[in-house]
Formats: sequence, C-alpha cells, structure tokens
Amino acid sequence: MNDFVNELRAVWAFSKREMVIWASYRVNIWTWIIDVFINTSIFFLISLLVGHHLMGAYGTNYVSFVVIGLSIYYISYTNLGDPFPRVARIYWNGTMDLYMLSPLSYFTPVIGIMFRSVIDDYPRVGLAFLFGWFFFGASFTFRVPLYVILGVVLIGLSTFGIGMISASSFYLLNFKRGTEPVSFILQDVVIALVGGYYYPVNVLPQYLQILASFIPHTYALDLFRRALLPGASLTQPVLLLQYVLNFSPIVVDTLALALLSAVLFPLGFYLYYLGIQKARKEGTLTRWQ
Amino acid sequence: MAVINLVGIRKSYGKRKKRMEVLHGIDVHVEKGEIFGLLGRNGAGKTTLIKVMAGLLIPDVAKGEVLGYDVMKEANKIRASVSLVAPTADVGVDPVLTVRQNLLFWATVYGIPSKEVDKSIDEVMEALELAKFEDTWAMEISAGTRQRLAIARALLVKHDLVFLDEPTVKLDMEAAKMIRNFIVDLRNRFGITFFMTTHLIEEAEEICDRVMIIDNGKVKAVGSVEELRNTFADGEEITIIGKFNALDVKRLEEMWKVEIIRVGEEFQLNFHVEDVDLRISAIIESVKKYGKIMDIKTKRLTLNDIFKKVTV
Repeated sequence: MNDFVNELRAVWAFSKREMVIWASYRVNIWTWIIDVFINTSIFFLISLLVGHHLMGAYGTNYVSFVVIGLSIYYISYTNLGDPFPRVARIYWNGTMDLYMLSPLSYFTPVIGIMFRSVIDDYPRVGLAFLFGWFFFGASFTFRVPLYVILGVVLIGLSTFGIGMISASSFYLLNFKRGTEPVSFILQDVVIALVGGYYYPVNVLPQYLQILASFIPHTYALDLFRRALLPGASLTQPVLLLQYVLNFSPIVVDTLALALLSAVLFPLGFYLYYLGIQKARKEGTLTRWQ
Repeated sequence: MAVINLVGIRKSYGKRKKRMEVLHGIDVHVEKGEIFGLLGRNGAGKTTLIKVMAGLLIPDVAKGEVLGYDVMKEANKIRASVSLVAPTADVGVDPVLTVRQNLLFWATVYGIPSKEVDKSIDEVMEALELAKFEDTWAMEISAGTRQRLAIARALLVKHDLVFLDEPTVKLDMEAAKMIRNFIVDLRNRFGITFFMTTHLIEEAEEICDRVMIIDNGKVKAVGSVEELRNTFADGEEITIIGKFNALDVKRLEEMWKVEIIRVGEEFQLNFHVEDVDLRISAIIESVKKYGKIMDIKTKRLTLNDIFKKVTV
C-alpha cells in the first residue's frame, strides 16, 4: 500500500514538474488555441461543401460530426503518439538511469511525464467543442452518460496501450533515430485512413471496414457520435461488428473497446518491460555509457 | 562490513562475431565508509562496472552482493538503495526549475515521506552550500554549483552507497577541489561509502582510501596508494647536493648504493633506496660527516607512476 502511495506521489511530482516546465513556455498556450481554432474552422469550411447528407445514422451536421473526430484525434494523438518521444527524451537527456535508481516501478516515470502531454492536449477537446458550438454551428446533446464515461476511459486505456507498444519499440527494436514506425503506421496511416475521424467508416470499401474493426478509434467515434450528436440513432448499425452482434450499437462499441483495452493496455506495458530488460542487458538505458 | 563484495564480474556487449567482452572477471570489495577510487583509461570499463554494481546493467556473470543484496537476483533492491552522480551535472538537473524545485522533485521520486522532505532538502542544501541558490533557476548557476546540486540530489535520500562517475570532470581546479572537500566531509560526517571513477589520478591520490586500476576490463592493481607504492615501487630516490672532497665521495659510494654526478665544485649524490622514510635520516647523518649539504630532494613513486606502469 505504502509503495502504491509513493508511486502516486511520484506521478504527481512528475506532473507538477511538467506543469512548471510547460508554463515556462508561455507561447504554448496561444499556439494550441490557434491550432484548435484553425482545425475547427477548416472543417466548418469543408462542411459548407458537404452539407448534411453524409452523416446518416449520426444525425446533425458535419461540423458537429467532425468536432467529435477532432476530439478523439487529440486524445489519441497524445496517448498513442507521445509515450515514444517521452521515453526518447529521458534516454537522450540521460535521466533514465537516475529514474531506475529509485524505488519507482519501470512505468511510473513514463506515466508521470505523459502528464505534460495530457495538460497540453486534453483541453483542446473542450476547446474544439466550444469553438464548434460558438462559431461554426455545431450542436451537441448528452445521452447515455454512463457509456460516454466508459468510452472515455476505454479509449484512453487502449490508445495508451498502443502508445506503450510504440514506446517499447525504442528499446525493443532499437528505434533511436528518425520516425518511429509503430505509431506512424497506426496513427498516421491506418487510423487516419480508416478510423473515421473525418468521415463515417461505412463509406469505406469493405476490406478497409474490416481493417477498421480492429481499431479502438472506430468504436469510440461511433459511440461518442451516437451519444453526443442530436438526432443520432441509438439503434441503426453502421459498423461491421454491429451487424454481426445482436446488441445495441453502443453496447457493441463498449464491448469492443473493452476487449481492445484488455489486450492492448497490458500488452503495451509488458512490451515496455521487455524493452527495459533488453536495454539493461545491452547497456542502452541512456545515451550516457 | 563490506558494502560491495563481488567476484568474477563479466560483461560483454554485441552479438556473435561482434561480441566484445568489456569486463573480464573483475572482483570488487569495498568496506563501509570508504572512498574507493576506480581508475582507468577511456574504454577501460569503468562506467560499465559502476552500472553493474548499481543494478542498472545485467552482467553476464557475477557473484556476490551490493549492500547485502544479490547482484543477479535482487538488482531492483540494489537500484532502490544506491545513488549515482552522472559524469555531467546536467543529468537529473532540470534547468527551468529552481534548485529547491529540483530537489523537491527528486525527494518524491526517491520516496522520502512528505513530512521529511523539507528537512532533507534543507540538510543537503546546507551541507553542499546551496541554500543561497535555492530560488535560483538551475540554468543560472555555475557548472560547479550544478555539480553540487547533482551531488545534493544523490544525497537526499541518505543511501549508504553513492556512485560518482567522474564527479569533477569539466570543472575548474577550484570547483573540483571544493567538490573533493565535500566528498571527504560527507564521508566523515555521515559515514557514506563513495565509489568514484576519475581520470584525475591526483584526485584519487588526494581523497581515496583505496584505488583500483583497471585496463581493458581487467584489474591491474588494487589497494591504498601506500600499498600500491610498496607493491610496485622498484626504489625511491634521495638526492643530496653539497660540497665534498673526491675522496670522501668515494667513501660514500662504498657505503651506499649511490650515483655521483659532479656539478662544478659541487657533487650531486643520488641515493637509490627502497623506502625514503626509512633511510633518509641515516643517509643525511652519514653524508654530513664528509661535507656541507646544500640541498636535499626526495622522489617517491606517485600513483601516476604506478598507473602508467600497470596500464602499459
């Protein structure tokens, strides 16, 4: 129990430190506010072209649809894309050895340092909703709150699991320079193409819809759009799995997310553990040798 | 009581044909409260050895304990019980945090109970004369002060064993001297065992109770500087310059193993002895009988001489 409390205290200490560092770069806050505004306005302009007709089971207008897409993108971008550069940072600045020379678990420093990403990126979700609603005519509702909360937790866990798989490649596959392929292939190729950030998955060819069935984003986006967009259907299936299983689409989304989280989250941590053990054998925990 | 007691440490890097053995069966024995110096050229295996002992690196083979924990089976306990100061002070020192914020962060990482954090920080800041910098950003303090901060970080948690990997590298002579004084002072006050690597042989000679010289991953010598002198000395020298007549010099030559050089009207007598301390009084008494002594010099074997000798 005492050890667990110490781990939590350490996560908090990392978080506070990251917050101080983040706040010292005052221009950050302005750049990301502008970034969110520009992204939302781009999709508003696109919405002027596409109108309502593509939204189908998700009701309402394209801006509302795409604000949900952007929100999941921000969460995913953080959880999936940031563990690798955070691990790289503590490798290159030589502190991994020092973190290892403490009572902390292998994972606490990465989780703690990730807080920087969370405080940097998560508020963008709220900002995207705000800009969409205030400037660009997006509208939202809040149905089935329990599923929404579950969805937030599960997409967080599953994407962080993939993030840890990506981070483990730093040590396990020795990707120390250039682009890291795991998050690039998943985030920037597969998920960007078939995840459904900017269009419903059912507009894709069937083989890509099959590929989309293995990605947590597909289910999270479907769940949040059904739960948060006015006029969205809670019964009409859109995803392949929703046609196969005889449950409500939101239940299917939640089950799929739970299954993917149960696999990806522990897998990410296990691979990261293996990566650290490999580095301890090879003497590559830090740049300093 | 042994703090480090390890035998047969072997470590290699690389795979198959590219495999390179860095440590070739090294034994290390360090007693509590010692300042133990590890000397070696670049690539001799010093940092690898420190990392194995600290539990950061898994050795190919090793037997024994560090702080009573098995080096192969209880590396996680070793890692949680030792401190390390890296060769560059910037490792573990965040430039945009103040000195106190840096220490506060590490105090939590090291699991110091909340109630004791402020007291621990105040203690190390006082011991390392950092109090006046407590609210200064780490990026605004000198390299020497940053190095003291790095040592303060390592000492926050009061571990019995601290590894210092070249603690004075990149520091000017004055700052390096200050750090050395701190190390000795901290050992004397708190009984901390320091295991340090250094390139500076004079540094090891000045503060280390014992040293180990390694070369190409093998131990070449280990002991106190005095013990190494006794082991490796092939004689020391006493030089006496004075005015003597040629006949008396001849008599001295019969009595002692001495080399005689005539310098104008004076003679330089180089006496080769095994131990300067043991022989010097007798030689001076003997020489005084035959003439006037102008100058006396002694040459003892330095650690630097021993280092060169064993690492050739």
